[in-house]
This record gives sequence, C-alpha cells and structure tokens, in this order.
Amino acid sequence: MSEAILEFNSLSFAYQKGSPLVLEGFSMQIGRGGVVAVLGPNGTGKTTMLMLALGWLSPDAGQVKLLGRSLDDYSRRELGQIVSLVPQFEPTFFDFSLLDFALLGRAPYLGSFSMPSAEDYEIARQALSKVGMVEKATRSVMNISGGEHQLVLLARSLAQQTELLLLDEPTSHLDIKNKSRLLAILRELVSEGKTIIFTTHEPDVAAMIATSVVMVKGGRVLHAGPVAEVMTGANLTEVYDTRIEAGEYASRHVFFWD
Amino acid sequence: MTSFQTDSNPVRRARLLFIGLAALLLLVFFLSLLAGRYPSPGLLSIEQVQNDQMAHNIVFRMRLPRALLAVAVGMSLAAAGTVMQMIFGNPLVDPGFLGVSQGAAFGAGLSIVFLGNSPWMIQASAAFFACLGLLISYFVAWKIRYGSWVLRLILAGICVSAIFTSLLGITKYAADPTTQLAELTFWLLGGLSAITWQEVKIVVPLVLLCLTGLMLFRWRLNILALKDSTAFSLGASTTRERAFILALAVIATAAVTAVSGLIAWVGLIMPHLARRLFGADARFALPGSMLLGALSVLICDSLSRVPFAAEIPLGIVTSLFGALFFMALMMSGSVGVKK
Repeated sequence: MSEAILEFNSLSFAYQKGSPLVLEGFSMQIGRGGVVAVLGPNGTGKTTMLMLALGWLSPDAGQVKLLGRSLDDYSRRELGQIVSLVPQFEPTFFDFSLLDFALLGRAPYLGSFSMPSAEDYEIARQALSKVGMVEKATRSVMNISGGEHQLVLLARSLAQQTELLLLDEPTSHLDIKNKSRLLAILRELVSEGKTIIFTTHEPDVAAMIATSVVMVKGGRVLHAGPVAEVMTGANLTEVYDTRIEAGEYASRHVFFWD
Repeated sequence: MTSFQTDSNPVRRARLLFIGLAALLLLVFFLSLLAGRYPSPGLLSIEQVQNDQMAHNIVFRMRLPRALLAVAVGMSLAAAGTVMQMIFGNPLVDPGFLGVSQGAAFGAGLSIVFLGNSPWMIQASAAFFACLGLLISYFVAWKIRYGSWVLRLILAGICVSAIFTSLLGITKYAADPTTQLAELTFWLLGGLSAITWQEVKIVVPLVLLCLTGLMLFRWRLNILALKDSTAFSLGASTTRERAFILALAVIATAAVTAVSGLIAWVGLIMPHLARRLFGADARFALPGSMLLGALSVLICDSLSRVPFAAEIPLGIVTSLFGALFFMALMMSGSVGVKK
C-alpha cells in the first residue's frame, strides 16, 4: 500500500458521555491517492467518521493520524489546507453569489484580517468552472436546486485546494448527468494525486469510481479492500441486512436487491 | 482580460454606492447642524452661525456633538446587527440580543431608582449591565450541554433577557411614580437630547476602536456565518473568533446604548437593506450597513427634534419608521430568509 494519508487507530466515540458508542475499536488506514467509498446502513457512524477525520470531533479513545502526524499537532489553518469537507447539505441564510460562496474555500490561506486577492477570485472561478456552474457565478446560493447546491459545495472544496477531500453522500441530490460530471471530476482529482473519501448508499456509484471500499456496520469496519474483492453480494447483504446480489452488465458492476 | 475583471463590476458598483452614500451622509450631517427651532423652525444660515453667538453655541456645543453621536449610534447598532445576524445565522437577530439591551435597561433603571440619577451613573450602570448580560449569556451557553454553540447562545440570550426584563419590572414597581418612573420611561424610549461633548469624548473613541476591528475582520465574518463544522473545515477557530467579534459588537452597542437609551429597529433593518444593496458578502454589507445606520439615525434624530416644539424620543421615531420600512421591505421581496 502507498504511504498512508489517514489512519484511524482503535477509535471509540460517543456523542455524549454514557450514551451508546457510535464507533468502537474503529481502525482503518487509507493510502495516498485513490478514491475510497464508505458504505454502511444509516446511523452506523459514516458521517461521524468523516468528522473525526476532519478533526471537528475528537475521539474518546484511539488516535487519528494525518500524513503520519496526530491531528492534534496541526493548527486549524494547516488542517484547512490539507483536508476539506463537502457536506451533504448546508443551510445558507444569506444570499451569497455562487462566486463569493466558492471564494470562501480560500479562507485557510488568508489571515484573519486579509481580503481575497484577484488570484483567489481566479481560483474560485476555476473551481466553479470545473463543476459546470461558472455561467451562474452571479446567481444567489439561495436560488439554486439541491443538486446545484451540492456542486457548489464541491466547488468551494476545490477552491480550498486540499490533498484530501471528504465528501458526505455527494451524489444524493444529483441527477444522472450531474452524477456523471461529479464522477469525472473525482477521477480528474485522483489523476492530480488527490485522495478522496466519500460516504454513499449507492453501491453502483461506489463500484464505478472507488479504488477501494470500506463497509462499516455498528461502528466497526466489517469489510475493507479493493472493489473487486469487497463489493460482493454476500458482503452487501451482511452490511444492509437485505438480500443484495451483485452482477455485471456491459463490464460494470450492478446490484439488485429485494 | 482575466475572468476576475469581469467580476469587478459588482465591486465597482459597490464602490459607487459607497461614495454616493458617504456624500449623502455628509450632506445630511451638515443640514442636521443647521436644522432646528432657533431662532425659528427651519435652517440656520452660515452667516447666522458666524455672527450670532447663540446660534454659534447651539451648533457647536449642542448640535455637533449630538450629530456625531447619532452617527456613532447608527454605525454601531447597524454594524452589531450585521455581525450578530451573520454569526447566529439568523436574519432576525438584533444587537440587543444576548441580554445586552435588557441588561442596559435594567442598569439604567437601577441607577435612576436606587443609585442616584446622575447622568454619569446611569450611563456607567447601563454599560456595566449590558456587558454583564453578554457575559452571563456566554457563561450559560457554555454550561448548556446540548445543541450547537449558536443554539445554546440563543437560548441563553432569551433567558438572560427575560431575567433582566423581570428585574426591570421590579425596579419600575419600586420607582417613585411622579419623578423616577417618568425619567426611567423617558430613558427607555431612547434619545440624544442630553448629549454633550463629554459623552462624545468617551463613546466615540471606544466605538471607533470596535468598528475598526470589525471592519478589519469583515471578510472572515462570511466564514463565521457558516455551519460550525464547515467553518472549522475552512480553518476557523469558531468559538474564539466568534467570541472576539461578538465582544467588539457588544462593547460598541453597550457604549452607545448607555448614552442614548434603547434605539430600536436600526440594528435589525439596516443589515437587511445593506445586503439588498451590496449583496451578502460582509466585505461590502458591513460598511454599507454602517453608512445606512448612521444616515437613518441622523435623519430620525433630526425628525425627533425639528418639527415639533417638544422633542419626540428618538426610539419612538426609529421604531415607527423602522417598522413601516421593514414591512415595505418584506412585501417588496426577499429579506434573506429562506422559506
């Protein structure tokens, strides 16, 4: 395996003291470069895992390491230059233009009293262009569809220019055309040497883009490894408690469930 | 041509608007110095100000400090409103939030009824309890064990405001109805009639310091308006940065409220109007809101003292026009609240 970009070592985490653990003895190592899909039922700790990787949540036990260093050893700005987050949805109360919104991704590179430069604007514009939203750059972020909103969140993350991107169910609001666009963007990012970790409930999306898959259930890693080895009907059935069969059509993995 | 240049149009538009508003503010400021009821209702001429000692004194000893403080009040309330609406992700929040206004009101009441009603004591007590309101709200929010930081602050602010309102009620109940109650009611209605250079010398430098801090920090406000985890992912130390910027906003609010009493609506409406004119980016919305706040308080203050022989408290004028204007603003389109 290539050098690890992210390591979870025996993590345990609960949202409140005394409440059930969301993750328990959770260990995982993610190599540099490639796309990792995280699959698992609702409420199994997928988003929690992303928040721990981001450093927003701290584990009750165990350690998260980024590029071999504990997350605690990084400053906020350093972290913001290495890891970015694309949430599934983000409430917005003020009508920023899409360009101003994407520009926020430049924050880790700017001091508290700094203003974005022409170069920052250009980077934000390129990020919008990459997700196909540059023509709508002056539109309000409050007047776009759920799918477009998801693409703009990705654009903000692209403007952040981080090596590791964490995406929480990035295709959940996208139509087929935009899903295809998103997958193409992710492939391009991987070719640039970036690492992508995304959670999803769509096994076919995971099979199309991921280089490796992690299946989690009950706060533990159930199966992990290359797509061809792990994305089997038996494993998916075990994870989702629903009979799932895997097949192939036109050289692609397809999945059927009852 | 780089693509950035095509986006400079909104920036150019904002600059032109700033210049226009600043020019209008200067004009209104100048007119407010000349407008009044001496020797008869209307405007003094420059010649009168130069030759009539009484007119000279009225302009330079009464109207000039009052106009300067009106600008400080408007700028502070509008800036604090913008900051709080963004930090709390709620376009309906105003600067009196977090127990600040009710704390100031109780402080003034306490001083008028129990501590002797010298202007200095009323102002100091109002400022002290305004800041105490914030500190208690912060402490309570810190101790609440559930919900996001913003939700905890909102809940704490509601409770602290309610406590100060009750304490103010007790103070009113204990007040002498012929003297103290009237004075307290007048203070609560807000006004700048008692302003002298003394107040300007204390309040304006403090306000300038806070507003300069907010202006320097203004792009960062956009980040702090995002969800906690997102702001964190963009490198922000959310709790520390929000505490710092809120402290600046509240100190400016407490400083002006202590000398002006409760001036309603300015801090709620001007941020909306500024966002309508300049867009949501705080780089433009914050200074825009400050200019609009200064302009509106200056106009309302002139309206409170010029048309009638007896001065109408400023808080009544800002409430009346503010509520009417807000209704018009809401009926004419979005005020930035998502359905």
